[in-house]
Amino acid sequence: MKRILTLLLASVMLLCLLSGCGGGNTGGQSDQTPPAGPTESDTGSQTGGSGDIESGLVENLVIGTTTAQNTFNITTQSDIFGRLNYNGFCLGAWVYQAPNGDILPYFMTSYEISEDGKILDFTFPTDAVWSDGQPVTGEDVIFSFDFLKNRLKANALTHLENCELTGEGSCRLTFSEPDAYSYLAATSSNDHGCIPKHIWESQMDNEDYKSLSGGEWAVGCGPFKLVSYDEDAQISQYERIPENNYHGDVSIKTITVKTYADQTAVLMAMLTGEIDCYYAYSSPIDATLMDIIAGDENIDAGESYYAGQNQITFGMERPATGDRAVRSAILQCLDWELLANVQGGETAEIPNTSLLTPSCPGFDSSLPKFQQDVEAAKKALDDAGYKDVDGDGLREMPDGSQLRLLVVPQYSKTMDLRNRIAEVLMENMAAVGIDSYIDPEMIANSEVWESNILAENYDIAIGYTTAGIAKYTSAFRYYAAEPRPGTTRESAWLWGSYHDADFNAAIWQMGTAASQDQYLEAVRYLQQVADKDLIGASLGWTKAFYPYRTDRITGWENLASWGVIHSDTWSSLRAK
Amino acid sequence: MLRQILTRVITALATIFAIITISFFMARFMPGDVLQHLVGQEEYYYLLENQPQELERISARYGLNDPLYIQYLKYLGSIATLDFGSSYTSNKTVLDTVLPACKWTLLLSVPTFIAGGLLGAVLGTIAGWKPGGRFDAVMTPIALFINTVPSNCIGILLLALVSFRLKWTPISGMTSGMLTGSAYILDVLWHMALPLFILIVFRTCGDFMLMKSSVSQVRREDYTVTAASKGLSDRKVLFRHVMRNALLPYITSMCMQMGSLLSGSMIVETIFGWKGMGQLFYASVNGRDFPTAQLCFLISAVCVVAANLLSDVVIAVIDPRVKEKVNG
Repeated sequence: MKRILTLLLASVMLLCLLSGCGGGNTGGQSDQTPPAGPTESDTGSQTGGSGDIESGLVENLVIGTTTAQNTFNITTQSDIFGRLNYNGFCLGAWVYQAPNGDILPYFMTSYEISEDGKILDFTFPTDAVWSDGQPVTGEDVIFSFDFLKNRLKANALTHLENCELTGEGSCRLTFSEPDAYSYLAATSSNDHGCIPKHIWESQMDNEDYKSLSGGEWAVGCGPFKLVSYDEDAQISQYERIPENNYHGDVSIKTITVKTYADQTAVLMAMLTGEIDCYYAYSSPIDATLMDIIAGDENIDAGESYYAGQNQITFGMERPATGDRAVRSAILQCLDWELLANVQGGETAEIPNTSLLTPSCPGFDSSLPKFQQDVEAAKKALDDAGYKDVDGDGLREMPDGSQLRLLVVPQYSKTMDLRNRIAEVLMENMAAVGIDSYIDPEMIANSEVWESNILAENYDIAIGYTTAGIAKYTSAFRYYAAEPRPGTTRESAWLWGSYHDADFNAAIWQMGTAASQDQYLEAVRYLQQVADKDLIGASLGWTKAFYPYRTDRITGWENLASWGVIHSDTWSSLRAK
Repeated sequence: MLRQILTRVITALATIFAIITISFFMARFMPGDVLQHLVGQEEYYYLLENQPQELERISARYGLNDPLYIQYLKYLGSIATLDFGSSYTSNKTVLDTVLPACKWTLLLSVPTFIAGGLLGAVLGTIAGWKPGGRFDAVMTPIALFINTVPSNCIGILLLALVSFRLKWTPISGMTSGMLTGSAYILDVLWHMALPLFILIVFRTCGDFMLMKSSVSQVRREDYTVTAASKGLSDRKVLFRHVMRNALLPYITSMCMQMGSLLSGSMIVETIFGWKGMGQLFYASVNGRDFPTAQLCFLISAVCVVAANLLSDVVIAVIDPRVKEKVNG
């Protein structure tokens, strides 16, 4: 017995020693640190966001997140490193999107699009540097588009025909289709930017390039460089590169990014002052957790309208929902208060008929909001001939046949909420005499669900739009029933059923708009159609919460549905 | 005896093979598109829209276009060569993802196994030796209470109290980062203090109930009463007669517990951001990272089967009744 105990204790000690060795390796950092490059003379290492009051520079900004930190690769969107690069962080992003939707210069110091939308002329800085100290050259710019088109296989560059330098610090892209504006718009809050040729040209044929991480693979020409990271601790540290000041002088000396187990831990860390703000792409803090930080006067909840939403799509070719009177009656019978509450708690709002959320570009706030009126819904159905003929409490079609609507919640790993929404819809419709049902196969099998959606086999489809899609592509993408010219229906991901030619053309025009005006014109038109024809409805406007501390740092700007970490942040923050 | 052990080993290997086969077909026969499960729905549609070639590449990489039997044979081959492919979520090889998680899980589970096992045995023996006594009256309700409260509940409560309010331990994570040597070891110990405490408390309470029940039962046996009647001291009765018999089910239980050493505690690891096997399994299933989930499942299953085998062998060696039956 004693021997066994001794052996077990020895095992524990050995394990502790082994973990200690692991720590030595991790902490050594030599193999995890990118090549030496331009460095800040004063790299303050204290955490907590304390600031240099005299200069107003933020000594160290601490960002808390729930996104993992395992991959540090400038060409991918993986993990928090990739997600932060949506904000031109270590990546010299081409452009960025202003809060009003304008596409503003970033690495591209200026740009001009030809009238036919096929040529994009832009300038770039000649004094920018890679984080390993090498200068950024025109060859890097040319290489970047080659890499994005031929290695990343970016669809937005499918029609890119030529990329050439037109002078020192200027370049021209030529597209075979009018894709210049849509390319910039689609990548304005995405991961397209300048890629170092001297590092990545050897990887043009490497299919596993996404698995490369750390060291040279994190080299970029954004305003910050990766200094060190610790995967076990899920912490990474960054230092500014003053030369890469694409949007004004970089006002943060160092940044620490910490990953926490969940949002509760993030909020606790914010309360204790461990972090200054929260950032996670398309994952705001859950409204139900916000009570944790309520009452702390040094924390701003960072509340804004969330761009994403759940929405319903009517089967426009179906016998009942193809009738506008039925669609109108359904929208009138819904308990909008309850629907909003189910999705976003007390802070959620009843939507209007635009099909968009208030933080989407071009949102039309003049359109009416939905409201429940059960009696009006009943009367509308009666007037349209949908009456209960056989006296069973359920209405029939005007020709006396059965009226039974198929409700299809979108299959996904977060479909519990949409199943609950379906329950509410079905109860509300039953209250006005409309029978409805769910096909269990469709909510258990993604292939069955998708084949039915593509075949327009639904009366009411309940889907969702992520915040990322909502910001540019918009929820209207889910209402497209006709493929984009030049593509097939199967490959084009078409879940809508409204085949109106003008409506579908407007959806695709959004993606190929040659200017912001054209884009907004299409958005305005689509919202008018949504209001007039009632092809579907947003099911609620929920709020996004990206909290931040206000006691040590000033200059925060909370971008709707995105939070306080964005391309402006690097130059707008000041220490108090 | 050797033949018996050999039979057990063959049965264990057959069980592992069955588990490998079931885990392969389970993932493939789940309703829906495997590629969508593999990539995640949102990412799937993003790639379908923007980089359809990437989907084809992934499909080819995981052999999803091959007939099922070819996929199965390739899977067996990959297990034999310990090449489990790449984790889709971390872009690393599955082994590089899973092995560090094993290390961190062992750091919690081995001390829990030892401390919980020892404490449970000692406290259970004391309570079982004098059932109804003062110690038993205090300890049993506490152990029962802790056994019935879910670990996530206790975990969050202690996290809020000890880490958040009192600030004695960190809120989340395994290390503070960028440390080396003894500072690193101390930092890890500081981070593991609370989750380890919770795990030890739970394990101790479970083991306590088992040991107490076992000791109090053996104490009522005729041979124990006879031994006491002969005038043997309490100590001799306890160690020569009671403990020898009461330890048999306890050792069996301990052997079985060894099977979960590498499984990790999903709930505690998730609450405290401990990147061990429990959290990895949870994250890989949640993120539809099937290559990683399959290896986690495989390791867990192999450990359980091995623990069962160990338990059989140990009992056969130390229990004279089983030894006699086997030899006879």
